[in-house]
Amino acid sequence: MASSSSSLPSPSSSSSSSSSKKLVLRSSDEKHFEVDEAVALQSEMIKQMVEDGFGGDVIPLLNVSSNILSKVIDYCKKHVDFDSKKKMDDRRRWDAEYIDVGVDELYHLIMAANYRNIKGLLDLTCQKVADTIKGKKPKQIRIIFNIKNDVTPEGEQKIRKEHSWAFE
Amino acid sequence: MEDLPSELVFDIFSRLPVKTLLQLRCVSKAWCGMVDDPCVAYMHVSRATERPSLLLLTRPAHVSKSNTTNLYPAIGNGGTMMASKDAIAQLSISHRYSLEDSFNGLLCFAPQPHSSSDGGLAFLLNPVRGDIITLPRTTTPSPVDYGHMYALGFDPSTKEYKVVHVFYQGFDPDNQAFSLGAEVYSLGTQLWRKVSSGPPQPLCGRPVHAFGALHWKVNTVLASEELDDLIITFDIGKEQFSTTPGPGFGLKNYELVDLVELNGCLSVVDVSFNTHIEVWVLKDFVSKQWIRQNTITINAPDGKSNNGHLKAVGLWGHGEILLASSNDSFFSYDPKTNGLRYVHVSGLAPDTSISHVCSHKASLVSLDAFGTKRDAQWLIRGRENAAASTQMLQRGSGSHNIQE
Repeated sequence: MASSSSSLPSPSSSSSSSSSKKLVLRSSDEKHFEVDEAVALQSEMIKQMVEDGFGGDVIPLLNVSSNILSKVIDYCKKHVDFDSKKKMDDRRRWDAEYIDVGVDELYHLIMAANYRNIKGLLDLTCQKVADTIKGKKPKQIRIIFNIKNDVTPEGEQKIRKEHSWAFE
Repeated sequence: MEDLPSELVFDIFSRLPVKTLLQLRCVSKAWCGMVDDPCVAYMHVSRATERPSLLLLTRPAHVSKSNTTNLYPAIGNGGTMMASKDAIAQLSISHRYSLEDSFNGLLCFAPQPHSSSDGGLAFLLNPVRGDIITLPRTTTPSPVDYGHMYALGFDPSTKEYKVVHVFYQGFDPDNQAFSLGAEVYSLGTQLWRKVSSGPPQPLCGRPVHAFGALHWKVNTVLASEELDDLIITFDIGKEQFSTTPGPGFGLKNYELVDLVELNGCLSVVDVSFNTHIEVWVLKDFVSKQWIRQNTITINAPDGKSNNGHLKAVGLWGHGEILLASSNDSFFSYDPKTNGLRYVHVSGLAPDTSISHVCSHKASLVSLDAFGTKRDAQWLIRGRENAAASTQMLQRGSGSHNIQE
């Protein structure tokens, strides 16, 4: 992944108030992200690490690549803002736009939200997958999520017959 | 997506309606297994994903097939209640069994007066899964064989499903009325437990599930005193009865007031007026404050002026209340638009009659763990082979109505 660090949420601290405490996160591809502590603490995992007195300067996130981490930080930053403003409509609109991503990216976001334990983002991503599934035929779902069909035609027939009303 | 940890797949699945989940069983063997996982059933119910839909209990018109009850899910489509082509379950039970309650996808059936003496037991059914268990025989004798009522609930603190059985237990000469007793059966246990005191007043109709409790109308005809409190409440966790004040419109013929659940709140639908229907909602169970939600002016859709024939069935479609008229026609009231419209029933075979309509939230909750499934499997048609059914018959269930 060749994302230049300038396009990422900044290692520079110019944009945010200098009074707040900063944490540095490191992605799996060795990129560093400096964020406000409040932003990083959206992650229950990081919160736990800080509470447990994690002493290092840099928090390594071994399973999260820089482009996904950047997207996750976007989410956390925005939601720190939202939490202080409580505008539900704005939040919903922003979330909907934010999560309008392809299946691959969605997968990595779910994994990152789960690994770092960010409840809001996990909820948003899981709901997005559920909404993607809704109203699709099994065949379409296999294509969208790249799932190998290991059910024989006879097997499928049997599954359909068990609950034929659900396939009307 | 195939690499997602199963707990995340369960989370995603628990956000989908049951009908979609059953279709997902075709996607792959792994998905089929995950849909069937009890975690999905549990999370799905806790999340309250499923919208209420309707379940039609039907009976073939032919007398020779009168021991069959078919269950059809129905969906709302404009002013139409459309039954599915295929039944969700077929039961070998006669009209002598009545549907007592519908909760979290589970249905409770019980034998009616004059049939409990022939050995029929109340049973629970999840029609979606085809799971069925009979409830143990009650240990508390009742002097009369009528007036038995069953209701279902879930106790989140113990994660137990409980069945409440209310019955007449003794004659009170002062009030010239039977006093009521109650017992509770937790699924997975062996015995009924007596509740220290039964309902303070006779109950009427099916219970409504709201605020984690069960609520019944008081049967004001049988009640020992004049009552403004129209509602009897049973706390599932504490296993205690209490009264909940009604909206305060005083004495009313109980037949003209129905309880329904509206978005988790206890609601009263009052059809006692000729000109309109009133909907009251108990927004807050602690403060017991009722709010008049809606008044529906009736320009009687079919020219009728007396609403007394209307009964509230429950929620369906997108939050509409279904009302059944005594002549087997249906009306739907939409609280959002305040409109009342006639509902046309379609999709059923012409020689079929609807014996009952209930509001139902489908679930994947399994009853397998709570009892020997085979005990009652003969009640479901077409799931077990005839030999097994015959075997059950010979084991002493002979007085049941079996048609194989």
